[in-house]
Amino acid sequence: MTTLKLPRDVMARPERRLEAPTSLEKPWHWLRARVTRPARVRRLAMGLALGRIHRHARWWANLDDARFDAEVMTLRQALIHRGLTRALLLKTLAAVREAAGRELGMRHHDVQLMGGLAMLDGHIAEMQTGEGKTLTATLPAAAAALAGTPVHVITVNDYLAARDAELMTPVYVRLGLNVAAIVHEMTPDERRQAYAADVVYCTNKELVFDYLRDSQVLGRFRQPMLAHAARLRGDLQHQQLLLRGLHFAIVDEADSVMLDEARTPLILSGPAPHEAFDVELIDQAIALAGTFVEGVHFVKERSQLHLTEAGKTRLAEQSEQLMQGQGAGSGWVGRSRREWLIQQALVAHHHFQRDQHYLVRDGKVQIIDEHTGRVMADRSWEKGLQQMIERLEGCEPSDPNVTLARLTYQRFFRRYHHLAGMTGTAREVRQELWVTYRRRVVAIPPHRPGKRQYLGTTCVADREAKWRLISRRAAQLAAEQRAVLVATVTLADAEALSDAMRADGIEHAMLSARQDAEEAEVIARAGTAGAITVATSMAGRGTDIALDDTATAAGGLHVIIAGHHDASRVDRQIAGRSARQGDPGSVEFVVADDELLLEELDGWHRHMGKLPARLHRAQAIREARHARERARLLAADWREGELLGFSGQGE
Amino acid sequence: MAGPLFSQHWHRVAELRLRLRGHASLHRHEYRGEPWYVLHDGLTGQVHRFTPEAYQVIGRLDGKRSVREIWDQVSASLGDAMPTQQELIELIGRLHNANVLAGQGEIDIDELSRRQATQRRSKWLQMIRSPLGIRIPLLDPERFVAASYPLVRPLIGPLGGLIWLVTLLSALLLMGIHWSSLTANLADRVLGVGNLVMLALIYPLIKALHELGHAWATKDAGGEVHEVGIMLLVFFPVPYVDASAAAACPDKYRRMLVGAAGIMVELFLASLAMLVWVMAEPGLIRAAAFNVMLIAGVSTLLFNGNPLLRFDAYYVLADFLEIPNLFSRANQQVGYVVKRYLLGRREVTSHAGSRREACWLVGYAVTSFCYRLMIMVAIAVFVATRYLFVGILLALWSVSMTLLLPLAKMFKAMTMDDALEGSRAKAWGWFVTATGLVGVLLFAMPIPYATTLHGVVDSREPAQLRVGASGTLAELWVEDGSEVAAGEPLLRLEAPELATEVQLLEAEVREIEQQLLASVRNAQAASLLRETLALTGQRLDDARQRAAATVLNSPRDGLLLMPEGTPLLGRFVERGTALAVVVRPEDLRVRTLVPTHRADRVRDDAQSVALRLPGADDSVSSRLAWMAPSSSYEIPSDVLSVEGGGSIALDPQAEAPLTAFRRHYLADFDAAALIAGERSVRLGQRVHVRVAHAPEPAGFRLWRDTRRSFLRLFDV
Repeated sequence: MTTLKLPRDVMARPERRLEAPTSLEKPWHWLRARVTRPARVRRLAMGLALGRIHRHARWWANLDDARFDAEVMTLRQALIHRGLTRALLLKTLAAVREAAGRELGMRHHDVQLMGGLAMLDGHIAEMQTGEGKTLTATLPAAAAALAGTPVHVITVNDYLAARDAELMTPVYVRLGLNVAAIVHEMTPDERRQAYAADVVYCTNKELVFDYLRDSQVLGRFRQPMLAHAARLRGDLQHQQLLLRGLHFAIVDEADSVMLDEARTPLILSGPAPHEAFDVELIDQAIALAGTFVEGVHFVKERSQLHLTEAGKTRLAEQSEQLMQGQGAGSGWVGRSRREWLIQQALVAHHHFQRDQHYLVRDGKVQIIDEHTGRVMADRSWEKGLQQMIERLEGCEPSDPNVTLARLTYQRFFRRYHHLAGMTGTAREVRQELWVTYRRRVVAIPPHRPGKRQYLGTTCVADREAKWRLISRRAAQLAAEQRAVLVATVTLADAEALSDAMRADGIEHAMLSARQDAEEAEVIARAGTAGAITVATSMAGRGTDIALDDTATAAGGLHVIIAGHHDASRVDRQIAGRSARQGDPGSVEFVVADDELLLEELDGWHRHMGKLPARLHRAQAIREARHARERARLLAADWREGELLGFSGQGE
Repeated sequence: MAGPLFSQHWHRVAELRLRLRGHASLHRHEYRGEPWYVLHDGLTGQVHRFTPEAYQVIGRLDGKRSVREIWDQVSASLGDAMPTQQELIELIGRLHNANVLAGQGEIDIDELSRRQATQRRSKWLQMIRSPLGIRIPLLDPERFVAASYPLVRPLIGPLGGLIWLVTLLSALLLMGIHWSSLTANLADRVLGVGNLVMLALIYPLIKALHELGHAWATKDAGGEVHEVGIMLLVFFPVPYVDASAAAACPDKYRRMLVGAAGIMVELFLASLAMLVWVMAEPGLIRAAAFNVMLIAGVSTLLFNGNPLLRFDAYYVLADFLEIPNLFSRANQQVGYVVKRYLLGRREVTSHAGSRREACWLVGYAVTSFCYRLMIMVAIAVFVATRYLFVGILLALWSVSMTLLLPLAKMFKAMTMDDALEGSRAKAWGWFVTATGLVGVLLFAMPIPYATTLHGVVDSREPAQLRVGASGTLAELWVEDGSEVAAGEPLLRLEAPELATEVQLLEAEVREIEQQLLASVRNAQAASLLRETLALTGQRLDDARQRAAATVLNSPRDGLLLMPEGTPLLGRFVERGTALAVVVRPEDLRVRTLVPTHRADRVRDDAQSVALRLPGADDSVSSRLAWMAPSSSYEIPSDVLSVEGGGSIALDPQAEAPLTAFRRHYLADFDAAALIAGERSVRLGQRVHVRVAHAPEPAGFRLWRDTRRSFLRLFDV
């Protein structure tokens, strides 16, 4: 079959230009975030469209295979010629549905069609877990791709990107589109080819880093005209560019990608030959910091270190001595610089603890992620701090890295000309999604009404008791032929629970958030009768837990949530793993009085009221804090964008 | 130098190689004994001030060195004063926004056009945001100023100064002499409709000369003026010139002259007008001169001449103190003081270079704020007495601009601003404490509360003492205010012609009696004479009676009061003249008019009443005797009206003579204590009445008064 291929162009690179909201726009957005059209009106409009799609669908269904392919070709030409008009769009969706039916044997349900329509309108479709979001995504993706627009389908991990791409390839191929997935291990050449595909499945991190790498290649020639001029002059290695621009993105798990992960900007760093650190200087700083006394020379305020006046005086005296004989080239010249040096040294001394914040392995300092408890091999602390801790631990200081580019998700996603998302849980953050990304959340009703039972919250005194209780409860339910999933907050929790179960002799599966195929298999097996699975919230994301008949008959999957997560959304998402698509299922919470989340509450607040209420309060505070962090990042983004307009570099 | 040394965005600028554009030049100035570098953009006339540290950077922007190299070099050369990366980025950002940077290879046309669009939009937004200070540029006066400058040139110097000073001093002298006739009923003259027209005609002329003064002085300081326009200040057109180019002049006295030129021109004009006003006959010329004085003199002193408002004198002061941007830096310094000392934050930096400067800044911020508030309220009140509705609107606007807007901003900062993260609790603590304190002062702390009224002494049933005969006052046996008994002789009039008349009539009677004896026979004549005798006897009786009335007796017991004052002995008194009244002490009262809104309080909540006679230091206590059940427009005595020195405004359109403009309740206070006092009381005398109420916090009163004003304004 002939495929219609548009010329691949990495130079035009369309992307939306962002303007900072003005002082009048801000309150307007704030207001619009709160005042919305009722969801019913929106659903009614979509319902009307559904009827027309079904009419088209009947027509498509009557075609034989050869005729179908030919009609798709005609449709595609019409789309490229006229664009995605409303009439063509409905016909296209019907075609995609038919293609999915013919190739996968799955035709999109009405709710999936509604989700697809919502996403094509640039909304975030809120669909319950297990409603088939992967299949839903093919609707807008294929429709846009047929119209000649490159599409990025963004998922949360490499495994899901590869899996989704593979699963849906037949549908796209049937429509004459080609599909590719980007995974971490791919070489730049492979990536370039993959990005040339009509529909690209990738993770948010890979995508942003590739985008940042492109921006490094482009340098200041960010305008297509400038870029072309530079290429003609030979200043631009356009062959090195990966992406074709930011046209159309569909973000899976939109709340997690666009908000939860958006609290820290992505930083592309590289070796910095000209910023090599003087080992002697670092040693001097560490030695000097060792002589500083807390309370006298520096004070700790809200996990930040401040030098006192006495400290500053001492620093000035000491550095005077150190400077002698070194002249103007000394690293101690300049008050800001030496205060910064001593600050870093003090932080290295007093803030970070071995085995809690970092590990020393093979003579290298490696950072431990606070949340997952995993070692993050490819990360390092900011300027100088890494080297100081390395010296403190007696290691050879590594080469300092220098920031090459830095970008926040907020900025990145808004650059897409068309941005849509889907997720199971967006209701709670719809205002923030609107203010930050200017996307509305559209709630799509479930295909079948849910039968999930909430069994309430059980409170225990401490962690040990919690593990014992969960272990007993899981064993008991497993004996009833139910499938049990225990979700813990951190990996360490999961391990502790696993140990407790092992001690009790209970057979179970443990997921360690590696996010790979093996894990997906484990989670897929979690639906068999009598299976107990322990996992963190991150583990096995995007994989359905399919129940076997015995388990369904016994009452389906029981989810035990061992402690509240950072956001109630995450709790809801975990709860959504049970009772999917009309299956039976139940959810319960088991919490202890020493949950880490309670740290959000200060002083007497920590002991006021019942434990569930306290936990909800703490969760609300943490959610608000994270939202504030994101808002601050966004505001800083705008401010810096204004300030750095002269640099000609976006990142 | 504060903040982290390294910036997260350094990578975006580190490799840039920038240079200054050709049209930007640097000048060295001195401010408060410190060297500064002023960057003058020859194209736009804009001026930017930089520290010597910044100069170290700017001077190195040659298009050959990268920003990173410059930073390394500057760090080495400046030592302790080295800039942080963020500071360097901000500096370059400032230069970029000032359009004086070049040299990044290709010109990014998109970026340029976007910046132009933003600039244009921000101008519009500026207009929308502050509709009360819109600037409308009109023309470029440079050619005219350049052409006329040689003509004015000799006047800018000692000679001009001398002429100016002499004129000003002589005008001041004249003003001192004619002060009272100048100031009589100023408001009537200013806002009379005819005068408004004349003001509108003269105003643009004076202001045009004012702005030309600035322009010439700028020229003299080596700058150029490229923009003249009209600023709509509170919807009132005020011309302005863009004399910012003068800031490039290193001599601070010349810069001050640029700022002061406008005022000097206006004062000169006012002085000339004063001379004209004194010499001219009343008429159009004199009125015009008066208006020139008014505009040029008063408005200059109140607005332009006051450094607390951001007009001419402000710039003169800023130049004199060598603190450019005085206003904004003063406010920032207040923000710093609040953040640093009230909230205890460490990362904020002071905007002042020295302690002295800090004092200047904070002092200026506080006084200018108070003054602005004051002048706004003053203007509003002044206009409100004339044009009620506009006045209230103006007052509302000024209050919201000077009080509510900053308050709202503060509130927003406290709830949403991230900069306050970590000290939010402290900020709220201060806020709650401050509002609580104000609240307690306003609504919980009772302060004395009283109604003060003007009263007039008055009697319920006065017995008038009228003289029964005309004559000169011979003897007065009683004094004003003394007690008299019924029948007691009070005074005697001397009426010699009355005695003569009695004697004459007596003689006549005797003559008739004799004639009667003589004409016994003649019955007809006798009867005629008898009739004449009866008539004359009556006349004699009448004359005797009148002669007896020269002694005036008291008609009843009571107090003798002479409202017209004690008559002089020997004064001639017509018959029927009331010389005194005799009142019973219990009939005396102090009559007052109570404004409607205070009537209830005076009636129901009069804790104590004090009466005080004008000029007396002590007061006597009293009580409310009676209050009229309904209000009326009548005024019992002209003593109470504004014209009579009281507080009740008369209705100018009323036909009846004593009609009040607003309704009042008539109230009487007991005057017994007043009579018992040492000082004599006269009828119709003014008495100050102070009715003390239960102490009440000021807030409630303020609220009632405000509410009342609005109810009246909207007629509900």
